[in-house]
Amino acid sequence: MFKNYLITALRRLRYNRSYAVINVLGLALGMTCCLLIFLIIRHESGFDRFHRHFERIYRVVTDETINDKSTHTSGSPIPFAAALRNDFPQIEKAAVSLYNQEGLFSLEREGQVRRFQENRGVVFVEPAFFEIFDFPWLIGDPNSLAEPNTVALTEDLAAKFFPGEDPLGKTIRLDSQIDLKITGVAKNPPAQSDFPFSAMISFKTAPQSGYDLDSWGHLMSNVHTYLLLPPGESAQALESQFPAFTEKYYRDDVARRRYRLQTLSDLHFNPRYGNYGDRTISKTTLWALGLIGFLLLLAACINFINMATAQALQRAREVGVRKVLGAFRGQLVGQFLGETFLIVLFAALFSLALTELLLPSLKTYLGLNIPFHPLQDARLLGFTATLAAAVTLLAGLYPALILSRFTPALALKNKPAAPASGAFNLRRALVIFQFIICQMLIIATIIVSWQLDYFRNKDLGFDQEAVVITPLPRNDAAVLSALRNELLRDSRIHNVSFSFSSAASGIRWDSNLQHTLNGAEEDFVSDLKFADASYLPVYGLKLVTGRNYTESDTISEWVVNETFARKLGLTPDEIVGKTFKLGGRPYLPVVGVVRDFNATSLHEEIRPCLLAARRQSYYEAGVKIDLHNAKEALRHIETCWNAAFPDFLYSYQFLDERVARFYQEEQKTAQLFRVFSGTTIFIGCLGLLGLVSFMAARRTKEVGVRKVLGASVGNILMLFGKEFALLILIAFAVAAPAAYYVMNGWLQDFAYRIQVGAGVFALALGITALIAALTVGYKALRAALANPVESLRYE
Amino acid sequence: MIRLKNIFKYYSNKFVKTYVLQDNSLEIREGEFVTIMGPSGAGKSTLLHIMGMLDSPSSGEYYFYGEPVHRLGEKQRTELHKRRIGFVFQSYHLIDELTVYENLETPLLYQKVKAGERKSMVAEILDRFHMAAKKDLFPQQLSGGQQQLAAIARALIIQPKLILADEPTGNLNSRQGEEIMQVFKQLNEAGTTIVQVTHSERNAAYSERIIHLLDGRIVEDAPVSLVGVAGE
Ligand SMILES: Nc1ncnc2c1ncn2[C@@H]1O[C@H](COP(=O)(O)OP(=O)(O)O)[C@@H](O)[C@H]1O
Ligand SMILES: [Mg+2]
Repeated sequence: MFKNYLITALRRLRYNRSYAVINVLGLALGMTCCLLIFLIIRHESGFDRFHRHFERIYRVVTDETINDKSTHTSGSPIPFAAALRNDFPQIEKAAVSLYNQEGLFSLEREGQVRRFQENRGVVFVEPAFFEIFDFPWLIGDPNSLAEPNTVALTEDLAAKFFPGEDPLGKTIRLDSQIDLKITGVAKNPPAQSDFPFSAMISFKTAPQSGYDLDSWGHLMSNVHTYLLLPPGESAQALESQFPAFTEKYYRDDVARRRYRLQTLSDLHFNPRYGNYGDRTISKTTLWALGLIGFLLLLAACINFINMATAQALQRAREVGVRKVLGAFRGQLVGQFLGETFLIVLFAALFSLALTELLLPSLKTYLGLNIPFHPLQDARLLGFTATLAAAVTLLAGLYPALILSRFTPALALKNKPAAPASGAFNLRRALVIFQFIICQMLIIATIIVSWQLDYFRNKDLGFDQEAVVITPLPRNDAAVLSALRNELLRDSRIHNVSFSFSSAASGIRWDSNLQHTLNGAEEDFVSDLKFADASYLPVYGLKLVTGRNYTESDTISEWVVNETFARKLGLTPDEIVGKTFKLGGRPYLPVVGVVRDFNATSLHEEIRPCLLAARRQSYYEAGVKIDLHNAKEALRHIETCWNAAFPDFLYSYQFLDERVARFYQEEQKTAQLFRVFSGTTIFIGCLGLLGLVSFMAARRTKEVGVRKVLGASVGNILMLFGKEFALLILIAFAVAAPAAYYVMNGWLQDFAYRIQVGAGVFALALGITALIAALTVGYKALRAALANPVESLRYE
Repeated sequence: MIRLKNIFKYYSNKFVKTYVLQDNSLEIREGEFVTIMGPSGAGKSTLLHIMGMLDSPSSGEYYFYGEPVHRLGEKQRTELHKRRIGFVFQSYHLIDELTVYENLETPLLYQKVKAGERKSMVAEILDRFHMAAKKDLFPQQLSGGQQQLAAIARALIIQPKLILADEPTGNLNSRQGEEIMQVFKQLNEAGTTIVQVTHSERNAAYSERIIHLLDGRIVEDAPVSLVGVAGE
């Protein structure tokens, strides 16, 4: 029996080759996207799951209320972990870590000093960290990190520093000032971890890098407190004791700060707090991806259903004959499902091959290290099998039921009128549904692209062109002034500014100020931007009123932004002359107001900002260059920099690149969505093409008769066009509001966003119409141009 | 063998009932060779399909070997006809994707006959119809007469008690038609009951009894000698 079915199925596929190709191709594309999405989702949701205590690990995070707005940071005060260990004996382990991210390592090998700039992975950490997390050491004991000036390296870093040598006991130097003895080698952290450490330095070394281990007031987003709760211990109960606990240590922050416990499972998905891996992906994005995968698959299945039911007439006779020969309906359903399964099986194998082919570029593009070994990967195989089974049922069941329902007497007359017309209405409904999916994805893609364009083109309030940023490893007066003079010696360097951070930066520094605008002394929180007097011209910041502050090594007067004045209820003119106090300094006057500018990414609104000179806090140089001679300018900067900082490795970045990087994740996500919606549209086109071919074939005679009666080519095209135009419009009426609702929600994530206007929808409708017209038009035109005598002869 | 009582068949279209068969009663005994005649659209095929359980009457009773077919479900009817009834159609209705051999094998598959037995049964019938050389050809590769022979062979492979043939020679030339009728005659002589629909008087002459259908009613039912006289 099975062999008989298989033979029929295979021969059918051979006879109807174009049908088979369209079906296999459509399903394979749909399944490939599903597999890729499955791999992405599985990868993203598996982060740090390998830790034995995954369920019991928490991070202390801080919510702060500043100027009545709440902000969130993953940081907690450095002494927090030690205090926890002291006050809560029920906590199994607590450890603080300070992710310094990058570091310059120098070491002596074969009598020579070698330098390695590590751009990620440098962390100060307590030994207890390794009891909370499972990052096994191959050599040495984590407890060795209890001593200052010790470090453990990962295998990779050890091999890089000391190829072919035993690194244990050797000394390396961090940032040309701190000597570290290697006391261990750890396994490389897995790709699926948000702790991409490569050099783990004992926490007690941190003071030598300028960190104050006892400061409760200072919050840094890279200082994390991790703790391991015993089984059954409630995180909420512990959290509720935090206010009383922290008041004991630091009276000031009780009103302003709330410490919370974040589960390890939230680390990878919560963009509010972020993680050391510096990449979160929201669950919404994963859900959206999953949904797109599902819709894609649905589109592919719809194609299949449409083509199968369109072919129903051709198969009716076979159904009739088989029933005459004694087939039960169930056996026929089985046969048709089997045929579908065969096609799906081809598609599944094809899609595994396609996935293998496409995954590498996706991995590179997304920067994800996703493994793909289908033969060893039981879960992937399971997913593929489930997918195949689901597609078989989804795509095959309805046609199978329709086909097997024909009564033999009717089927043998080739007149299975009743079910076929029902199927045709369903077919229209399915085409409408497919248009809905396509149009929703088109609208979503347009909105995402426009939003990102808006980011790229929005006036940020400063000039991001032609500014080169380089770090300042030292900021002594002599070094800085020498560097400035050297740089300006070349005419291709227009200007130089030293500052805490560039006009736009991922790093923010905010602080409490005092003022007496309403009589008594009051607090006010503002961002701080310490910079020399060239800051305004280099970044093109415009003064609204007043003047720039004068050059100085220490704070002597302020320049503020418009928001600063507005938040205090003052106009720019009114705020000039008002005085503010920072830390232990005297009250100092505001001398000017700059136009608002976006000091961080456009995800955030502009906050009050205070600018002043303070050489001690300069960590970056912004160099305005002549873009026409960028190469020479860059070379000159490098030469000057290396002369100023001989012990350090040079690096630079263009300001506009830095700004673009803020939206890198969105760009990637957008691109992913673009690719998948493009595929959906392509699958939709395949289906449309198939459907139109059948329509054209069915209408050959009608078209012939009409032409004999004098219809023009245009009339005939209208005949096909009208039908699809109606379907597109109906679909649009559903897709437009649905997409608007979803995408408006997405836009709310951005402080600065586009208005979704009629233009988006008009464009989406236009695109759909164009794609449909191109797909349908070709076949319709062929039908219209056919010689009527030819087409009538076949009837 | 077959007893039809007050059989009606109509198609409703937008609340208008079109009657195709009106109040027909009929009995066919085992071993008979019956011809149904009548103009096109008279309801001959419909009547034949009802007898073969491929279609069900709108009302009326149908007993097959005493079994009340009108009370059976689709599955039971299939079970009943697939062992006892062989069908032959004007347009052969072989399955295009299967070879002659596979076409012949199909009814046996639905009867769950074992592979070895299947093989010998197919081989035997191929021999009997002198078609062994053609067993691997597809229907399109055969002439009309050969296709009809294959279709008859397929109907006979289950050793049916009853053969229902709807204009079996309609698409064939007279020599081929003659050949088919010879086969029917031999089968009937061997005990198989045959009901055929035909327009040809020559074919009708092979049978013993002729039923005349006009506008869905049986207007005449008589032995072949009498009909022959009446028709002249
Ligand atoms: N599915 C159907 N719907 C409506 N009328 C039908 C259907 N099938 C057959 N008929 C009508 O029933 C009548 C009898 O058909 P049929 O039994 O095939 O006639 P015959 O075989 O005698 O030529 C014809 O008028 C035909 O149009
Ligand atoms: Mg007929």
